[in-house]
Amino acid sequence: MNTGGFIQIDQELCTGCRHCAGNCPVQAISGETKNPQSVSADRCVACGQCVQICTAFDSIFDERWGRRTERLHEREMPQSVMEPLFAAHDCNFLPEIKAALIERNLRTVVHCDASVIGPLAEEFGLRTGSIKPGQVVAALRKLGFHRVYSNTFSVGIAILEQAREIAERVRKGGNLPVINSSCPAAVRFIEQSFPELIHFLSGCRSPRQIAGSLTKAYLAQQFKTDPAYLFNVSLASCTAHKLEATRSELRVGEHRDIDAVLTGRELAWMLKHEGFEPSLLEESEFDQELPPIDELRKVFCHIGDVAQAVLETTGELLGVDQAAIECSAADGGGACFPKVRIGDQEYGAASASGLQNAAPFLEAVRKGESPFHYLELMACPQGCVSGGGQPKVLLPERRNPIYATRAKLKALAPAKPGARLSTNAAIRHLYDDFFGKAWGDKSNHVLQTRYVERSFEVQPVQASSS
Amino acid sequence: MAIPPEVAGELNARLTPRLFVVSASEVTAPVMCRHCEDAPCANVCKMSAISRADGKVLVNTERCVGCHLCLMACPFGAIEFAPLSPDASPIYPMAAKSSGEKNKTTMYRANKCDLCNDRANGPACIANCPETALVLVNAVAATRRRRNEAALDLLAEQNAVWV
Repeated sequence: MNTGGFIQIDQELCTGCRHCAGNCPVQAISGETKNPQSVSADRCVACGQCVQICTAFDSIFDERWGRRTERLHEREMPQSVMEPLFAAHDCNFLPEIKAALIERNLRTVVHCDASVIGPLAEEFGLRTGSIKPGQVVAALRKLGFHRVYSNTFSVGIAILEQAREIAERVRKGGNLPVINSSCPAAVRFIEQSFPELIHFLSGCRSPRQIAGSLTKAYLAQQFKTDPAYLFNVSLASCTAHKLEATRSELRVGEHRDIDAVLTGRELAWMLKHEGFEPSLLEESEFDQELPPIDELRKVFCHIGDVAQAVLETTGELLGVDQAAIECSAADGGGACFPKVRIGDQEYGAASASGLQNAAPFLEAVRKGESPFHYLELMACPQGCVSGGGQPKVLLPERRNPIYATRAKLKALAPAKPGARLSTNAAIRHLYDDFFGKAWGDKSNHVLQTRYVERSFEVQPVQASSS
Repeated sequence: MAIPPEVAGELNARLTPRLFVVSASEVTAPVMCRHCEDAPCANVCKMSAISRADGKVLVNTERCVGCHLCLMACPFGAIEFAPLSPDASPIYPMAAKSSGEKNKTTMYRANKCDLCNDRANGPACIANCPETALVLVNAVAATRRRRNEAALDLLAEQNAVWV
C-alpha cells in the first residue's frame, strides 16, 4: 500500500520491473520483482526521479469501462490529458489552483522558476527553449494569475544570504562547509541520512520558499492586503518542492507561505486544457515588485553555477574587487569544484548532482575531512532541468541528450557573469527599507528556517499494521 | 520523416503499443508480430490492406476497414485494433456519407508492429530495452552463428573424449 506521500505508484499499473527502486537514492521503493511496488512516504524525499523513469503505463488496449477517465479523476488531472498514465506519478495541487483562480476575493501570485521555461516548449512539440519567458508570463496571466514574478530575485537573496553565512562562519570559526539548502530533496536527504550534519546546512530558506515568504510578508504590505487573501503558487521544476511547501515551519504568518506548487508538466496540462498555445502569445513582462535578476536565470540549470555565484558573492562581501576573483571550475565524475581566490585565501566548493554522487561529500564532512567552504548538492541527475516535474522523456536513450540540450539553452545563459548581488539596487532596497537591517530579527523571520533530524527507526508503517 | 515525440506531454493522440508484454508467474515476455513469410493475416485480408515487403508485414491503414479478420487469423495475437480518432472518441463512419447514418461510433483499425518502419536506427524497443533482452534476428546470420556454435561444441566434445 502507498502511504500518502507526494509520490505514488499505481498498484494496478506497476509491473514490478524495479527500475525505479534501482534509481531511488534513498531506497524508499520496496516490493517483490514482478509485483507492484510501493513508496514509503517517510523515506521518500520526493525528488520525482522514479516518476521520470517509470515505463509502465495504462494501455489503451486494456482499458475497460472507462478506467482511464476514472484514473484521471483520481489523479486530479484534466480529462483532456492525452499522455499515457504511468504507474509512478506525483500528486498535484491542480484543484486548489483552479479554485483559487476563480475565487474573486483572492489575489493569485505565481513565482516562476527559470528552469521551467525552456523545457516547457517540449510539451507542445516545439524545440526546447522556443517559448520565450515573456510568452510564459503571458500564458500565466491568461490563466488568470494576477501577479507573475520571476523567482531569480529570490535566488539572488538566497545566494547573498548563503555567501554571508560563509563569511560569518569563516570569521567566527563556525561549521564549514556551508551546505547549500536550496534543493529541498537534498535537504530532506540530509535530515534523514546525515542528521548530525543539519548544523552545516545553510540556515537560509530555499529560493522558492523565499519567494513565498516575501509574498506573504513584503508583497502583502505593498498591496496593503491581508496575507490570507494572497494565494501563492510556485511554478517549479521540482516535485520535492511540493513536500517542502507543506513543511509546517515554512510560514511567516498563520498560513503556509506557498499555497500550491505547479510543475512545468502540470502547467502544460492546464494550458492545453484551456486551449492556450503559449508560443503564439504576445510577450508580457514579469511584474516588477520583485524585479527579475536576469544574470541568475542559468543558476540551478547547470551544475556548479550556484557554488560559483555564492563564492563570487562571498568575495564581494569580503570587500575584494571583482577583478581579483578567479573562478575556475574543474569537471569530475558527477561533480565539479569551483574555486575562488579572495585576497590571499582560496575558497573552494564542491558541486554534486544526484544524491548518490552527493553522499561521499557528506561522508567526508561527517568525518571532519572536508576541505571545502561550500557544498552545492542537487538531488536530480543534471540539476533542475532534469527535475521530477519537468517534461517526461519517453525513451531512456534520449534522456541524457535532452537534459544536455536543456542545460545549454542560450536563453538561460547570463549576458555577463557576476550579478554583483551585494550592490543590487532592488535587494538593497528590500534589506534597507523593509527589513531595516540584514540578519536582524525581521529578515531572519522571513528568510531563515530550521531543520529537523529525522531517523528511519520511527517509521515502519507496515510493521505496526501487521 | 516526422520526428517522433520525445516527451510524454508531446503526444497528441493516445499511445497505441505494438508489442504486448505478457506477464505470468514463470515468464515475462513481449509478444509481437513475427513478420511471417506466408502471413496468415495478409492471406485472410479481404481488402489487401496487409502486405509483406522487405521482410516486414505492414498494414495499410488507408485500406483497412476494421473487419478484425486478421486479429482472428494471427496465431500470436500480435494484432490489436487501435481507435482511429486520436483520443478514442466516437466519430462518423465513412459509410455515413452514403447511408445517411447519423450515429457516431468509435472506429478501429488494425495496429501491429512494423519494425519501426519510419525510424532510421531500427526498432525502438531493441534500442531501449533496459535488460537488452530484444534482438532483431537476421535469418542468414542466425543460422551461421548456430552452425559455428555446433561446430565448436563438437570440437569440445571430441577434446573431452581424447584428453
